[in-house]
Amino acid sequence: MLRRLAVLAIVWGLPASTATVRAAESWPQVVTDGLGRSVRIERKPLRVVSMTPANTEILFALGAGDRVVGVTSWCTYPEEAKSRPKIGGFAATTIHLEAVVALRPDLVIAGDEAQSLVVGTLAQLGIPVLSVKVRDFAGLYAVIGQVGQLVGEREAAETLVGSLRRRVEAVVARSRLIPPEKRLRVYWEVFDAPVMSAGRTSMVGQLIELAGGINVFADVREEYPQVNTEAVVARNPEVILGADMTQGGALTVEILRARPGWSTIAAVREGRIHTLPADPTSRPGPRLVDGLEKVAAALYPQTAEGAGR
Amino acid sequence: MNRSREFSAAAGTSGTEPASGRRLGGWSVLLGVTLLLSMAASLCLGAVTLSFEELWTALRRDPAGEAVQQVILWDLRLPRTLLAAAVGAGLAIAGTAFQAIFRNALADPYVIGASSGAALGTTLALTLGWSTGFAGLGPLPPAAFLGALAAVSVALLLAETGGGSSVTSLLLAGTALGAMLSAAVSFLLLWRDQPWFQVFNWLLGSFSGRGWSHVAVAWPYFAVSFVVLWFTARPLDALTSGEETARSLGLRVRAVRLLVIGAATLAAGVAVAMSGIIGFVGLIAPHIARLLFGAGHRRLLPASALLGAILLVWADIGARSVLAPVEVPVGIVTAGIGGPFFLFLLKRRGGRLA
Repeated sequence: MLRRLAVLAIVWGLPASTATVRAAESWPQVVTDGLGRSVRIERKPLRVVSMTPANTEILFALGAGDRVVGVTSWCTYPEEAKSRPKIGGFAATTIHLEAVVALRPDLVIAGDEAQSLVVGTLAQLGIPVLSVKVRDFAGLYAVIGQVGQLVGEREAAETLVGSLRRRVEAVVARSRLIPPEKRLRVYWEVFDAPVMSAGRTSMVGQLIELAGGINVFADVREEYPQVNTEAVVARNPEVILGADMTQGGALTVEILRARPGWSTIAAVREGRIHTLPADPTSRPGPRLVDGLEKVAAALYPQTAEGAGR
Repeated sequence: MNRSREFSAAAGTSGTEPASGRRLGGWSVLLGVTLLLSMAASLCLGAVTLSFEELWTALRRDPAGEAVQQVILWDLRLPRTLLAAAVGAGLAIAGTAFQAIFRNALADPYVIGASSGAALGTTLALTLGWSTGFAGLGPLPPAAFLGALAAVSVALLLAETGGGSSVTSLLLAGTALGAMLSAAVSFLLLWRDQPWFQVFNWLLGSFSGRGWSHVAVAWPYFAVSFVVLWFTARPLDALTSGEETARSLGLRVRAVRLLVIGAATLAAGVAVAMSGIIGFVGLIAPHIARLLFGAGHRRLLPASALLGAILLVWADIGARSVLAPVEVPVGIVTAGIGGPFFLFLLKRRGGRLA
């Protein structure tokens, strides 16, 4: 709730990065971050701390992995990231500020409003903090560009964004060819107890739409709402997707059929249930594009194969 | 209300019940009909609205009707409504019993530590990855139940050994224990970075996704609890007028207290196990019942149960209709409706309840 209010209150600083003067490797660099703060970096950062798993993935994808000196305990990708010193968990309350400071970072890359308290404190201590907020693919490209600019990997960022953009466009081009009557009604189970799904504005909601599916809970404004199971039954999805979350593991026909009333749902009757890897479909990093491709392949296997995947 | 009359009735020295007995007759029919109508409304309302005709068609499993409506009615809404009614009644009788035994208007199932105990049980099960279910249910309900039971037992033990005024010390013990258990819950959540919404869902209560298996598991426990409390109604009346009085009447106070607390904790624990922590029902239903029927427990217990059932059925209607298709935790609804109502009662009665 708080997060949503904050989203409304803060105009994101994405255009700022694209507007910045193109000057390769010139210092200082100044950008406006996801919290609308101005971030100034005096010289090329050599000690970077990442406070979200997605940021860690971005840094490594840009080839700045060897300068990452601190990560969260959730940073599991790439493999190399696991061996870096931990600064705590992902939630702001579990981050050890002293551990961050002790790493003597010259740049900290933080998450969105959820970490704003930590961001404020670090900034007061004179540590440059870039807070990133990714709401959609455009936002992801912009953040990669911004991080690239601040760590002095601008060219790598441009290359990466270019390839990500092409892959997303390829998926969208294929899904655009799917006639409206062949588009599948999709229910995405974010969590099982309570039953939670994804609204239209959520990243998952966008993945479904971009892949050519119809999100049965597209009418919900909340990002990850707890939904009524009657509504799931009544909306009768043709495909059920879920991520291999820590809790329930894979979604199976047996599990879903055992739920009261669910055996009548088309997807359950026909066994069209797919479990997708959680990280690429939930972390707003470069692998989100993998997630999109996996969603598309799960929904429309023929189309995806036809395109040579 | 009149202590001495209740007391003499409790002591069995006179059979002066006819006046209030008549009152109970009329009111209980009214309450029963209200409950049935509330449940009918509950069957019609929700993410998909059914008209009375559609409800009738679906109830008869008429093949001419829509199959989805039959599924929603029989597999989802009917068990959910029955469970809401049962849990409402269970919380209400638990509240009635706790308030009587502690002679304290605030002694609802949660003040004496049952809620935080259940929360800790749930959190432990989550963080330790406990996956053993019970009676076809997931691991969380039994964990919540055991937690509630353990917390109330510890509170009781502390109070028993503490000496002095046992009522006050039990309430104090329950409160202190509650604070400690809540701290433990928070610690576990932070330590393991648990998905907050899962615990949140339990802490605020919900009937989402509950089916016939829950109803089947829950009813017998509530029935046992109710029957036990029903048979201790007279001793409860005596206890309400004070331990000294009860003792002077030859009542085995300690045994009665343990029996009543056991039965009430069972009802409260099963309620938590079925639906998470739902506040205010156990507090409000007994108060309204007492306003309507006086303090005699033969009348108070059934009236309280019916009122609790009605309250929770309506709260659940709200929970699944207000933001449909989004579910609101039912505890938010009971607190939202119950809180103001309780304050209103408190104000009208000049700050004096019970």
